[in-house]
Amino acid sequence: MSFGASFLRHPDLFPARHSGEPWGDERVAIHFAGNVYVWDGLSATQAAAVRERFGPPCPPPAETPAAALEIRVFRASVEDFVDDGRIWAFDFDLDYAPDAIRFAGFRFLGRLDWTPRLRAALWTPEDSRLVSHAILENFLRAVVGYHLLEQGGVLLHSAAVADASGAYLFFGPSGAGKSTISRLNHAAGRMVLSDDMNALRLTPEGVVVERLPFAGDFGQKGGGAVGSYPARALCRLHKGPEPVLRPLSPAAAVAALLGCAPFVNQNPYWQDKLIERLQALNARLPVRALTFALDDRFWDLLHRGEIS
Amino acid sequence: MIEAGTILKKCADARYRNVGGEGIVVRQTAGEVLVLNDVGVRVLELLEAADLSASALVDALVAEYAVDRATLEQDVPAYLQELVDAGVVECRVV
Repeated sequence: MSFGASFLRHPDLFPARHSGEPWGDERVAIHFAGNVYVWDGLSATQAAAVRERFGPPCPPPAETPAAALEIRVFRASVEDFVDDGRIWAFDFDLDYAPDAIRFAGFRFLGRLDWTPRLRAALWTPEDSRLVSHAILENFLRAVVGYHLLEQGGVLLHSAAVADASGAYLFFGPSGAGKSTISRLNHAAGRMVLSDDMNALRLTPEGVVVERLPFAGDFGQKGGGAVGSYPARALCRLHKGPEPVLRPLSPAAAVAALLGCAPFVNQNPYWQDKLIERLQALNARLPVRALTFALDDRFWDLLHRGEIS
Repeated sequence: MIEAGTILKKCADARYRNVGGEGIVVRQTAGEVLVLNDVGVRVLELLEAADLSASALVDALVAEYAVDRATLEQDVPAYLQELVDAGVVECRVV
């Protein structure tokens, strides 16, 4: 099926520019991962919902953050969207071009353009359901994926657990054990940064994990504040009867990371940049394959760096 | 079945990159990522330059690898079939 056909009545009338009628005059800034994402054109209802979902803005970071990325929100007509009886759909269509991406999903259209600079726009007929039906969050996740890559980082579908020494990242496809490892560690009193998505940055001091406000099924109960944590291990997760930690070749490591770098990994115009970033990440903090036996015995292996 | 005269080409939606002597292949349409060994990478490099027959690929690999022709003539068609089954390479219809 062609782009947007399952969501939009007229995919060929997709907005070519960031323009339209805003929902209102409200602006809400969300601070995380060293960045500021400013939602502009919100109604009072939408702004209140965003503030409630994401909490108060984070304290300003120690260093000056990168320039804010503005996401403009415009009204769309409900008549622009296919009505097939669905109450909600999590997936959305993406269309890639050399200097833009178009999004079409359940009751929203979006654009991400990066000439002359990275900027985003969202059109939706939903006022109160902009946040409750995850329209804003779904779009924001994708925007963050590209923004991070532009800034020297990468978004990774992963669980992250932190202790006094730093953060340990566990990634893999659905069913690999990210939620299980998160639940086990939360029950054991460790800080779970997220069971779904984390940002990694390469800094002169090393790789850092930035906690994001996207927490997946585990929710926001992991404890700890939004912030940066030095990355101590990067593990491709597998389930098995006994805990094992083994090295991966650079190609296998990058391939594993690539499969878990959402939103960008299938964009042919950004793939080379993403692969280069993942190669650099693996060179700084080599990925290892961790067989997870659904208990916490793997911590001994990680803390000792014991490789089979 | 791959035979000596079978003409092969790289699938249009397979993008690859050499990483540390191995290849990372992204199948755009399927959203899959595969890892190939150095021989697989070399096969993709050769097929990116031109569609080639299985026998021509064997000729190229004989010249580049310290493996005798008989072994390559036995192993390469099977390996090419794996690449076809993985959606990385396809047989060109003549």
